[in-house]
Parts: sequence; C-alpha cells; structure tokens
Amino acid sequence: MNRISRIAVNWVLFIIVSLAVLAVPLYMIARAEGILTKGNVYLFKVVPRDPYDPFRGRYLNISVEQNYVAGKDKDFRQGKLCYAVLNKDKYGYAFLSDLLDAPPANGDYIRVRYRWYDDKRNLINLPFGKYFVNEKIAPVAEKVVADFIKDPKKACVLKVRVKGGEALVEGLLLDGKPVEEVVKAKMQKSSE
Amino acid sequence: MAPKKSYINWLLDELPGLKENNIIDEDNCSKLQDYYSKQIPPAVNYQRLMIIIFGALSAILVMGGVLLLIAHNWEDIPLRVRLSLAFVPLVASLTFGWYTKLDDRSTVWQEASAVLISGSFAAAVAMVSQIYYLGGELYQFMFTCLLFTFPLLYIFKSQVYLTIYLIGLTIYTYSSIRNDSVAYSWMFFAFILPYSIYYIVKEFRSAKMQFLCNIIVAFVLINFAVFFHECKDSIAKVGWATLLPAILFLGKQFERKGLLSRKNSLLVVGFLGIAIFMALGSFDDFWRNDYFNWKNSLSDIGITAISILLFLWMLIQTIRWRAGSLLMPLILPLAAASSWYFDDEIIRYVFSAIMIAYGIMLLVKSCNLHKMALLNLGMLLIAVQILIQFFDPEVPILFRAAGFIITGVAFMIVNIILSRRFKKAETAKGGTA
Repeated sequence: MNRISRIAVNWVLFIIVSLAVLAVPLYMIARAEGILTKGNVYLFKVVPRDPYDPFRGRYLNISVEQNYVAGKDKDFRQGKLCYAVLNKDKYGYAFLSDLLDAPPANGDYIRVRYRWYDDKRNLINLPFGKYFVNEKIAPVAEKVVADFIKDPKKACVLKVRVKGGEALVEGLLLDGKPVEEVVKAKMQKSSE
Repeated sequence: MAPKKSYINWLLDELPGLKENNIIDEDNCSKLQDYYSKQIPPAVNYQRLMIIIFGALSAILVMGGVLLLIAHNWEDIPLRVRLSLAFVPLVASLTFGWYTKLDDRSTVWQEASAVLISGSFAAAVAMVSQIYYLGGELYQFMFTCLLFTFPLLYIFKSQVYLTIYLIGLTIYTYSSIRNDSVAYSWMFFAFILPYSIYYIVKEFRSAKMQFLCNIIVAFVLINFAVFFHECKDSIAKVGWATLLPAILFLGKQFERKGLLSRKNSLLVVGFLGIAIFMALGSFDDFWRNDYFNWKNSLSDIGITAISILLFLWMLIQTIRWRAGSLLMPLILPLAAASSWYFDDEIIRYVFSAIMIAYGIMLLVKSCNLHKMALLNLGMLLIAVQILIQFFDPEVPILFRAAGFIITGVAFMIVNIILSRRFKKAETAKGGTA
C-alpha cells in the first residue's frame, strides 16, 4: 500500500470512528427515551445501600427484594442470558413469575443473567442495581431510605419502565414521592 | 551481535585518516561511512520524550477532571442541558483530533488526541448511563469503550493510548469472568496485534519498540492468567509451559537480530518464567488433584490450538538455529502434557531432571562463550533444584542446613575460578589477535 492510500485509509477510519463515538451515546439516549415513553410501569420493592462508582459518582445500591425466580432448578450455565417473565401481585407490585431461555410470546419480560440455584430459588442479576444521586444528598438519602425500609407501614419502591426486554429505572419512590424530593425536604427542615 | 556505538564512532573518525593515507579509496570510504552510519542506533531524544509524556499526562488529567465533574451528578440542571453537556467534551476532543490530523501535528498532539477522544467517549457513555440510571456492570462499560476506541491506536499511533487500552483490557478480562465469553478478551487482544507486530519489525532498535515489547509482555502474562484460569488445570499448565518458552524464543530471535540482552525484556521474562515454572513443577503438589478432562470449552480449544502453533514454531526455530541449549525449554510443553498420563511423582522428577539438564547446558555454553551471566544462570537453575530437594520433610534439618551452605559456597567458588579463567582466555585471545 503506497503512502497516499495509507493516508486515505487512515482518514476513512478516523471519519468512521468520529461518527461511531458520537452515535453510541446518541443510540443510548434514543433507546432510553423509547423505553421511558412507551414502556410499561412496574414497581419493585427494594433494599438500598450507598456506595460509589468511579465513573458515574454516588449511587444507592438497589437490591430488589425478589432477585430470583422461585421453583425448580433451571440448570442454566452461570452468566447465561435468560428472560425473566414479569407480572403484578394483588397490591400492584412487580414479581418475576418464570425464567425462560427464550423471550416469551406474550407479556413483559426482562433480559437477565443467571447466577446459580440456591434454596429452591434461581438467582439472577437484574439490570437495575444502581440509582445515581447527587454526592451531597447521598449519605442523607441512604439514611432516609434505611428508615423507610425499617418501617413496615411505609413503602420504598423502584419505579421501572419495561419494553422489549429492556428495563429502565425511572425513580426511587418513598410512599409515592421521589427520593430526591423527600431528602431535600428533610435537609431543608434540619437546616432551619 | 550489533557493534557498539562507540566502536562505530571510532571507525567513522578513523575513515578520513585512512583515506588521506591512501589505505582506502574515496568510493570505499563513502560506502563504509554510509554503511556504519546506519548501524548507529538512533539516540533517544529525552526532551522530546518528556514533552510527549507530559502532553499525554495533561490529556489524562483533563479527562480525569471531566469524569469527576460528571460523577458529581448535577441533578439540579435540566435533563436536556445535562445530555447536551455530555457531548461537549466529546465534540471538543473530536475537534482537537480533526485539527491534529488536518494540520498533521506532532507526536504530542497525536498522543493527546487519542487520549482525549477515548476519555471523552468513556465520559459521554458514563454520563448518559448516569442520567438514565442505565444498569450495566463495569465489564459492559469497558467492552463498549474498548470496542469503539481501539481504531484510535491505528489513527494516531499513540503509545499512551495503547497502555490505557491494555489496562482497560485487563480490567475487562478480570471483571468479565463468569459473565462474558473469554473469546471477547482474545478478540480485543487481536485488535492490537497488527500494530504491535508492525512497529516491532519496523522500528526494531527504537525506544518505542522496547516500550511496546515491555508492556505487551506484561499484559500478555496478566491476561493469559485469566485465559488459563478459565480452562482445565491440566490444559492451563501445558499453556504456561508453551507460552513461557515462546517468550524466551522470541527474545532469542531479537537477540539474533542484534538487540542487546540488557534491553531484551522478552529474554529476561522468558527465562525467569521458565525457571519458576520448572521449579514449581519439581513439587508433586503442583501436579496433584489434577486430571485430564477435555471440557471442549472455547478456552480449552483456544489454548490448545495456540500451544500447538507455538510449539511448532519453536521446533522450527531450534532446528534452524541449531541451538542445543533451547532443547530443554522446547521439551517443557511435552513434559507438562505427559502429566495427563503419568503419575505426579514421575512428572516431578522429570521436571527436576529438565531443570538440572538446562542448568548444565547453560554452564557448558558459558564455558564455550566465556560469559559470566550465562554461567550464573546455569548455576542458579542447578542451585534452586538442589535447594528444592532439601525441602523434602524427610530430610533432617542438619542435612538441609549443610546443603544450603555447600550450595552457597560452591556457587561462590565456581564464580571466582571461572571468572579468572574466562578473563585469562579473553586476554590470550586479545593477544593472539
């Protein structure tokens, strides 16, 4: 390959890379907006903690109460991509009713990774483990959420939108109010 | 071996005198000047090197700052504004990169462009996933970053980006265990191979090539540890027993092309790796609880295929070079593979014998070539093997103590006697010449 061809190939490659690096975040936004606008709402009961992500900052580590599908051992390989079928209980909370190795023909489902079988439960990795919050409110948020969870009369739920196997967190709700709103009100009250 | 720079300079200084005294004619003089001038290895321009390092460092610091700004989580700013802000560093870096390319700017600009574009891409992906609470683990994030930014290596030929890429690949390899197929790590590793091979061949004696060799060897070992971890123990051991001699053989190839031993990291890593592997193989525990079971997984097939190819390449090189001392590293993979069929105790003695034989071969070679370094390496292998035998709990402590002392004294005496002999032989040779 002569010098001019090499330069031309280099330029074509650079143009492709420039377009690709712009397209990836744009595609992520379009996909997220699609789920948020057209996805069905599910409420998951949660148990959060407060750690830190080096790239994305502070988040509440959300442990969804039901991170498993009860029943017989599915005997899937660890890390296998599978499909958790979604349903709602009589109180309107989401629950995972089945775990399949192919998407179901009807109804909502989430793409998950299989972990292992333990105590009559097929444990899975749900795709929403992190709820990002501003670093100033993170420690207070953690305390507020912990107090909420301790109180059996109060409800701490994760609002998730689901569409075509993709799940996206829309908010963390404490008795129906967004966690940010509750935390800011509490911080304002304590500063007065 | 490549002539030393000082000898070449001396010869070049002598040429005008030789021409003046009609010992060589003008034509020969210019031919000699041309030939030997090209033999001088290019000097490292430290000032330029420092500018490149600090240029890249500045870019890394800028990207680190941007990532921390993002990590703060500016939830008070409206969503659309935050989304637009996610693209500001990326667009700025791309503009910087385009300017660098269009104006054909220097290496510092090229290095900075590659680091800034890759870093700002990572920042944009992180920020979008933060804004939308997108799930995903570290390995998935690294996967996206590696896949979409690796062409920057070929576009900007950036060493700093290569280092960042290899660090990212290592993070990916370790964080994706049990989640993603190991084939992806192989794929990411294959992405950088054409670049590395091209520069190692093209700029053989340059500091750039040495840097490339050093970091690639380091990351090959780190990443292969994961690949080997993923497959059966018995196959992993054959994999190590092939990979380590292959590194030594590659170092030998560089040595034959004139690279000085002290600059040849492949030679050092290959030899040390083989010595450690042989020493470990001399314990029966190393081979215990291991049985051959063909899992037919991708890692097993990959390691086996690569091991066979590397072994054949080493075999061809040994025949071509007629290097007897390389026979021992060459039979290491075969000895490790024999552990699938023979008892642990037998394999342990096979490895002890190989290590001692290799040590003796190096001793013989050192006596022929009058090289103290080779002598000590040979002695080291034999001494380690003797000491390993003394680890046997059935040997009384007093005997072990005696063994250690005798080995140490023997080491010292052989060194003193042979260094004198080598010096005498060299002096005699110089006198004869």
